Amino acid sequence: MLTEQLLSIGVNHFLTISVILFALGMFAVMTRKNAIVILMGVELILNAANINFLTFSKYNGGMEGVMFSLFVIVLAAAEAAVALAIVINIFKTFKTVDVSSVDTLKE
Amino acid sequence: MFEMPSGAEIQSIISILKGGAGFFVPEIYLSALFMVLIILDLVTGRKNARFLAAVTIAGLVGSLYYIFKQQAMPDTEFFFGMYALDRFGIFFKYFFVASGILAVLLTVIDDQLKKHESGMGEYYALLVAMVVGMMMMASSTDLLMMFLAMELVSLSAYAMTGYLKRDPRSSEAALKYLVYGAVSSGMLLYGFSLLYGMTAQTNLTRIAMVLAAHGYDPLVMIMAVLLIMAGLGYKMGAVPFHFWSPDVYEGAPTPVTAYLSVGSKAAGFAMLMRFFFVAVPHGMDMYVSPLHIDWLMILMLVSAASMIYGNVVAIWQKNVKRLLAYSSIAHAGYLLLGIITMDQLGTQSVLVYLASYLLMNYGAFYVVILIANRTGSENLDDYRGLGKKMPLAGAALTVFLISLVGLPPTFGFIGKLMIFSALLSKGSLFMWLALIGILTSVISLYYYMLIPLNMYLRESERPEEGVVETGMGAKLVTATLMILTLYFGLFFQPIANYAKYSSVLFGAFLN
Amino acid sequence: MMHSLIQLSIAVLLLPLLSFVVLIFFNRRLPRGGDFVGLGLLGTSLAISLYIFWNVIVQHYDPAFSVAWNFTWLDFGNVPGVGPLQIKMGIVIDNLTAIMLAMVNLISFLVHLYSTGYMHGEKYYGRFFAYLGIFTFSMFGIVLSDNLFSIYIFWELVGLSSYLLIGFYFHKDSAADAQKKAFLTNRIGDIGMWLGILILYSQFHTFGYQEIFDHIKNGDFHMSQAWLTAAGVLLFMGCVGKSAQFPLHVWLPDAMEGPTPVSALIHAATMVAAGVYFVGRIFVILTPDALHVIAFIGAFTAFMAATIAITQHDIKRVLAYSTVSQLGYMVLGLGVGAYSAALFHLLTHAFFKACLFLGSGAIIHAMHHEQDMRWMGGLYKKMPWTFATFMTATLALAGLPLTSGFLSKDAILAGALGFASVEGGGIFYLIPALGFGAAVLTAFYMGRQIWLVFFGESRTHLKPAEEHGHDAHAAHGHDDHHHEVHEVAWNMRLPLVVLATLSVFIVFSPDPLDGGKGWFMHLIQTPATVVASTGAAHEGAGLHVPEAGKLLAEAHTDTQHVEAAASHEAEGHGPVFADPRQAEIAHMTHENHYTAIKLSSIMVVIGIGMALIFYVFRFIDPDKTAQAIRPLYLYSFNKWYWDEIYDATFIKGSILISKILAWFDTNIVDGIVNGVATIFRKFAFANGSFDKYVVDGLVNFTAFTVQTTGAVFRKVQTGKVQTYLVMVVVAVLGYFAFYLVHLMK
Repeated sequence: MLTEQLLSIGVNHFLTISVILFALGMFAVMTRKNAIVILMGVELILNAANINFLTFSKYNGGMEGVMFSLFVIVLAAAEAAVALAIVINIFKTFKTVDVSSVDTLKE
Repeated sequence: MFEMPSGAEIQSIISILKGGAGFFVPEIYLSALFMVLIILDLVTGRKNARFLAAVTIAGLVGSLYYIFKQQAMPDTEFFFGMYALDRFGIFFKYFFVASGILAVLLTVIDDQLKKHESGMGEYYALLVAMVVGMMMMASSTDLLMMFLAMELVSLSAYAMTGYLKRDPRSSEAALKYLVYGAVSSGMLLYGFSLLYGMTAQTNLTRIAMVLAAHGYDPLVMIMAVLLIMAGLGYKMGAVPFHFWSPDVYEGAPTPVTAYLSVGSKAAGFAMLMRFFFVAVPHGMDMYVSPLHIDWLMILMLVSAASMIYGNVVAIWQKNVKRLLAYSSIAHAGYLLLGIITMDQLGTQSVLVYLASYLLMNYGAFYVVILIANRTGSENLDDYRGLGKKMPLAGAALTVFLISLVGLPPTFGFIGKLMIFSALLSKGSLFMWLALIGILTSVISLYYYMLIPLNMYLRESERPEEGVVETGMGAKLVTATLMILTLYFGLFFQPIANYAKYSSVLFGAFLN
Repeated sequence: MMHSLIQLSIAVLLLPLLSFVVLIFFNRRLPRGGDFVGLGLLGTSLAISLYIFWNVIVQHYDPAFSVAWNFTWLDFGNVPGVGPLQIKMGIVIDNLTAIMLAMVNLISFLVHLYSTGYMHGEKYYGRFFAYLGIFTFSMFGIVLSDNLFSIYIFWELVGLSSYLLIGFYFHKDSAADAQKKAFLTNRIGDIGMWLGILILYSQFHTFGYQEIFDHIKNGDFHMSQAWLTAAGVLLFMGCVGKSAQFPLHVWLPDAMEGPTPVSALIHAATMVAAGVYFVGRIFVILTPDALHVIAFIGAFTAFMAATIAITQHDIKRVLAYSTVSQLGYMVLGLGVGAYSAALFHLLTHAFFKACLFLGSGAIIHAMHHEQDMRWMGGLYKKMPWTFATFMTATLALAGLPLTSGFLSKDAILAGALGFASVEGGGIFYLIPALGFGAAVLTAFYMGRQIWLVFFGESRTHLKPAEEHGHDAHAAHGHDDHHHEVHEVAWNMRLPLVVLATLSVFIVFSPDPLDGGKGWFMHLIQTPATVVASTGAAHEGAGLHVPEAGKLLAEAHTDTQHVEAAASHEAEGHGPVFADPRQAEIAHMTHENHYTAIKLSSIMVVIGIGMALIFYVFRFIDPDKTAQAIRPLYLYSFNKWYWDEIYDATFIKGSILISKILAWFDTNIVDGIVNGVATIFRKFAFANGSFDKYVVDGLVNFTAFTVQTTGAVFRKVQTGKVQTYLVMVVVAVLGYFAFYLVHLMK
């Protein structure tokens, strides 16, 4: 029973999860105030794409997707490093990590 | 699941990589320069800014030699189809090295960066890294490589934007740039993953072949193209993906602003052209394409929106940097006009326009820095009476602005002229776009001319100050940029010819 | 191989540019602000252009004379789908060019000379001469261009330099406003012109006049004739802007804020004539429909401006409206097909109107910047030279026999009569009627001006005391404020004399009653049109139109037209026209010649008589009359309320739009983003802008719309990065939804 269900998991299930992750990530970056949470949202978006790559790599054959997701993981780490440095600097100057209150440049 | 490759296979892979490296010399050279700069910063003392600048310029100039050597090589694709060497890419390599050199020239005169307490070592290293990234953006022929190149540019740009750590505006700009850029590249990546899912390929040429052979689901395709467009549009600074640019341009150190507005924007355009011309071409017929992808419509809307939005909002700006930011949005719209025609003339005109944009935009920012050094602000009101106090800088800025409007006899005029000629040579099909372009150029005249108006016709609030000396080097650079802008406005045939020669993309069939 | 005349004309073109370059950079370092540089260079170029004139006009004396030279300026190579694509630049010298070159150069030189007196002591004295240089350069460019592209470039340059000159007293708000108004109004016309150029370019892939004419003549035109009409009317829009035709005439009277020599050079003789010259250049591609539009606009402008001129008090404003009116005559002339007459009037008018403006400048100079005619009077004894020249030019403007103005104006009116009878009467008789009406009014307002300024008692003391403050010129260097009126110096007198001499009939024709016997009408003849006449257009709408026209012309061979044309040829009146319409108009014009002479002489007498009755003998008190017909008087005095009309329609309309936009912005855009209402700020903003921008008229309509849109758009840039992301997502999803809907269909 359980094995059947597991075997019947196909490409659509993975893609659905990926879409949900992507949507959650977009939701997070659009609504959360804390800069760190926004960065977590970005990670969700990137990982949603990773799931896509791996899924397609598995079901279409070929190694490109796997390579792609490996590089994306490395890159996400690099981005997080730069991002955290900037956020720390923002905290030093503005005494807050609330992104919506950093809005002196406008119009 | 995956088998280990045999020794012979590894050998062959290594030999392919070695063969490819021969076509990759400028990038390798500049990566080496990047590391040399970091090491030099560590071993030299704290007051090393000028020394590092000199090394950077020398290094960048040196790279021109390796790029020049590439001109003799045949057009080819290497590194397993991840990277191409073609005339189009070589043009952009020259372009990015030139924009890097100019960015260094802007940096050395900037007082804000001069006062920066923790040294300039990383700055120049990042600048060089960005040059490498932009070169790779222009030459990558694989989704993975494109994404990596774009991230390399973005990461360097975030750090450079926030380089003035004590300046809240710089920090704010960096944060906004980072959040916006990260999300945009996330969208781009998701779009890439959809495209990969449809084709099982990451090489642009092979994607085009699979799409042509097997077709695709239009809904998924349009979603993928839209998401990719969001990522590319962010790099190009085109409406409606432009929102980051005014804030970032205003907040970033002015040399970085200039660098972003020319280099990073041009890289976005190069990548857009390669992606759309090679991977999802729409063929000769404008509307009934064999692939039924109406990305052309998307580009037309984006172009029209950019021209209108950038120009009308620029009218309201009081800060010159912000004004130039909006103007750069408008220029993205004009550049897109040349891409929409999707032929060789259009590509040629985009290249010429970019070359003119390089000169005039850097020139304008150069003078803006000179003035900001003196007045401490980029406010339009502080430009009053500067025409008398800084005669050369004032005259040069006027020339650059005239060129930005697109009036003769400047290089900017040639660029606009070629873009509109390319557009109109397609008959009356794009007449409405050309109309929007011309009408918005008229609008742009108004806000650009506000600056000379303030400089020459308004009296200064501090008339007692005499003529301000700017230093010999600065004068030389200003005069050179001004003369080049005028010179190419009259004798542009060599550049136009070179642009025509360069409008050949690997794997694209332009007519 | 370059013809020697071409080489000389390039020298003529570049000398004023040299003057500009030298003066703009070194005027402070040179003695006397460097005025001698400008004078010397202009004098040299005058000598050359007079040589060109002598060579072309006197030596060759050939109606078909033409020398052309061009080079490939931009080569796109072989463009797929289009063929070879090149943009050429070049110079063409024919009779018209030679005459225009000499005329522009002469007047420009005289204005330079005059300015050494008039502008003496100005703070930016040297800069003024630099501006004159760049203006003269661009004007030469317009005259010499052989293609639409370069004429457009010079056209814009003329606009720019006139912008600089009008705003020369930029510290005065009125001058700054006038400058802005002139610039923007001209842009509206220029946009139309550019569109017209683009239509022709997209069709023929060339900008050259001759190439375009040849293409049309050979029937390479694949669009319907309506497009050609549209192109013609759009090109004419450039003329409407530059030559101040209705409805874009509003800028010219305001442009009188510039120094008076500028008014003489730009707003009487050259820049405003550029529009007429341009229409003359493209005359052959104008379809009959386009010509009708041109004729009606010209006639209406001529009459309307004349009615305004009769009530103005400012001496320069009277002349300004008179200029608008006379330009209307020229446009009317082109519209009715009286090509050579219109260009003839362009030439004669340039001389006598420049003389009038310079004369009024002399008066203003002598009266210490008093411009109001109500406070003048009795000047003829004090300023005899000015009076004599002013009087001569006035007679020419009024169109009295023995003057140059009579010859040209008469030819235009004869053309209008001929045109009306060919077109079959009815509404077309309105055109000559308006023309003759304007002739009466011209004589009247000029009589009024002469009387108010030169005769009677001096009324300086009558001026209300509180108005005295206005005439003090901040920038002007009159330290001693003595009120003695005296004749001006020789450097201001000489130009007046030269120009007045050129307003006499003998310069242009041996016969004081017929300009047709003169050299001008012999050398400048109506070119044969390259488009078919109306009749042919009806028959051959889908065919290659010119061929149909030719057929029709052959069908007419045995009729009277050819006889008429032949008789014209014998009298030296014009070529034989292949086009029946042109032949018929030429014939009827000739028929109506003496009618026109009689009628216009009567009109002038009536006009002058009325002026005498009102102002000299005072049988009727003009003030009481004004009271009696107060509504009419006010209508004229307030310039037909054009500024107010533009205000009420365009400006108020755009306010409404801005309110709608503000509402949209507040309730829709912001609602999505954060729901914070900013409507009050928006209204306050709109009201503030209303006060600021309601003043000017049509001009600011465009600016205002653009600014309002910008103001609304920039609110989107909230400064909150997450808002930006929402925008991007909305844009992507919006397009996706649009595509989905599209796909469902």
